[in-house]
Parts: sequence; structure tokens; C-alpha cells
Amino acid sequence: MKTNHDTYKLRGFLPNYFKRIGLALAIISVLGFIGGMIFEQAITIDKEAIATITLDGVILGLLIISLSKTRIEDEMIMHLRLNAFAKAFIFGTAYLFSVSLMSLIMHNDVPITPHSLIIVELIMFICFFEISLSKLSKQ
Amino acid sequence: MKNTIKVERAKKDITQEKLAELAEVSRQTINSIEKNRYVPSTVLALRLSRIFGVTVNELFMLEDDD
Repeated sequence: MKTNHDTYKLRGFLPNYFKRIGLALAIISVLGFIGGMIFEQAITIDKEAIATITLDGVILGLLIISLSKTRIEDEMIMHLRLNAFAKAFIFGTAYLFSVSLMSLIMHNDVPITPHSLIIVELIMFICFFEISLSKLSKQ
Repeated sequence: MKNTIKVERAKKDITQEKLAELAEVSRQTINSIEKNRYVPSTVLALRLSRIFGVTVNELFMLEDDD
């Protein structure tokens, strides 16, 4: 029978230090986006291309954070992770419904891009998971 | 579901930290199991029963509302 350690080592998650790499990538992408907005006239690259590249960078950064292991991985951490995924998915669906409903009521066409939905879900997953971990560490 | 992990721990005079080390889980996981906040997997339940030298049924018991 596999040990608990082996079971959770084989899940395909990234080592813990990838959390910092993901965070750095997300921050650099956000700064790149802000920089692109400020120096809009000076940059010759298409504005939409900058937005797409930076949003992709943010998504990749958040995904790396989400897939990084905690310092100690065991079955309860995996349970908390799955709970956080479920909550984030429900939150994302609620976000999608509420934004489209608001858009309909206010006759204002607010576009929901796949990028924004994924970013909301990833951010909410990270928040729910980190809250669970901090509650756990207080025990 | 209730359990007698705390009692068994006291009998063997081992801390949550030590039990966590033996079971290859975090101390918080042991704490959560003891306080009935988390139900362990079959593998972990079997491992805990092996550590204490008792059966799983002696370590974990169903309650009326289970």
C-alpha cells in the first residue's frame, strides 16, 4: 500500500516555491498592463495584443499558484483544495449570472470574456484555499 | 462518527505531533480527526489503527445519526 506521502506526491502538483514564481509572473503581468496603458502612445504594439498577453500572464501566474503544493501535503489538504475548487466554481457561475443579469436590467452591454471568468475563478480558489489553510494553522 | 484517538494517544503517551509523524500526515489533520471535523480516508484509518494496535472499529464508531 502506498504511503500518504507517496499518494500526494504523485498528484502532479508543482513544488511549493512555484507559488512565488506564479505570484511574480502575475504581478509582472499586471505591471505590464498598467505600463502599457500609461505609455500607450509610445508603444507601437497593438493595444489589444498587450491586453491579451498580460491577461494570459496573469492567468498563467494564478494557475501556477493554484497548482503549487503547500509545505505539508496530505489527504486533508487535498480535501480543502477540492472544497475550494467547488466554491470557486460556484462563485464563478454566480458571477457569470449576476453580470449578465445586471447587463440585461441596466441595458448596458458588459462583456464577460473567458479571461475575466477564469481570473475570477482562480482568484476565488486561491482565496478560499488560503482562508481554509489559515483556519487550519490556528488549530 | 466519533473516535477514540485521543484516548489511545493518552494510553500510548504520544503527542499529536508524534502521531502525525507516524501516520505521515500533518498535526492539523490529527487534530481535525480528533475533534470530528474531518473524517479520514480508509487508508489513514487503517494506518492509525495499526499504529495503536487496535481494529478500525475500536478506533472509529458510528453514531446514531450516521
